[in-house]
Amino acid sequence: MRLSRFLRRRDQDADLAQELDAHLQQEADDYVAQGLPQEEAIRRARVKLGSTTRVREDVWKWNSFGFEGVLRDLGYSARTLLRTPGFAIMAIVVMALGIGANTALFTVVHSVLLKPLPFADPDRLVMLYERSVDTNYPFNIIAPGVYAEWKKDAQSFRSMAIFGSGSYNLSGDSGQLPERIESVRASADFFSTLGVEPAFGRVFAASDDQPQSEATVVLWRQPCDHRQQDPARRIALHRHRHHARIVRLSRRTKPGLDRLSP
Amino acid sequence: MPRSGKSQKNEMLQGTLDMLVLRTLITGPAHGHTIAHVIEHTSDEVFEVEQGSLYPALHRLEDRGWVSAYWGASENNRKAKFYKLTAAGRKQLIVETSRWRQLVGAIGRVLGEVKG
Repeated sequence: MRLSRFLRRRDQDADLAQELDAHLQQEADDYVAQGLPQEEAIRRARVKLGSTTRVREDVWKWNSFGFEGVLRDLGYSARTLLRTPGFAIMAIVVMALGIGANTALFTVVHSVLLKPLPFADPDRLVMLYERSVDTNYPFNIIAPGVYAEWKKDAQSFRSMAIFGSGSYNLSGDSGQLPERIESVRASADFFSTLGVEPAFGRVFAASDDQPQSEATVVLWRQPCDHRQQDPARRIALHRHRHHARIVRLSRRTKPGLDRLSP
Repeated sequence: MPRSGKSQKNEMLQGTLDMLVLRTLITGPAHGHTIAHVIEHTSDEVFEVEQGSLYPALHRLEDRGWVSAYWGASENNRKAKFYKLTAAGRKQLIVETSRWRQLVGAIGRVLGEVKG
């Protein structure tokens, strides 16, 4: 209904203009019949009926949609910008840079400050350091022995784990080319403290954390050369043989490390 | 004068013009000039029907299918657009009339007999 009115509004307006004109003539005829001269009759009729343009505008508006004004404004602004292309380009560039800078900044702020860590209870997760007397490096990473003491005495933490990062040469059993990988060495409760559970295989157990036990390696990205899906197989790190576990971690965890070993 | 008498003349109640136009057309097709005249005349000149409200109203009624329009010749042989009540328009008139009667009756009952 609305659309058909919109599409036919030009014809309808022409029709209405004719109709209003006819009305005016009728009115004038009445005055002529009362004995007024033709010209005076038309003048009186005009005065009586008022503005026919306003009537046509009202009907036209009723036949139209509201957004035409917006379209006209858009056209007007486009023409204004085209008339001064230098200014337009400057304005667009300035706005583009502003928006870009804002987006970049917010992306950083979002990932650094706003987005929670992909671990369980990220708001209760803290990193503990030793206070160092060297003011250049005030946060000192603690020694495993200190960690053991802390863990024994600490009352305020539900779980505590220690880790340190490093890198290893990883090679397979049968003399493949070794691969340099980034790694983290961590205590057995590292995964349980972060609340990360394997979807496949197992991570560290408490029994792995003994001095006499064999080092356990957890890999969560298959190194390119070692494609077999054997969940427990032997690999070499710095040419020392280890028992490797291929683990797929659950949750949306991607701690950004390649491998862990106690 | 288009607006001079307006303060003395009663302004038409919102929405009643459509009903009055439909009522006028019950006696047969008419053009805008006649419709305005008939309403003004039969209301004893209480109502003044202006072009500015009559033609949008006619346009609306035609759009809703309550009247149909055609071009013809007027009494004094001028070209004029005639409006004719449709069956739907007749039904609408009955609906609006009964609603109006109900309304007037209700208002009358609420007002009661006011002296003065």
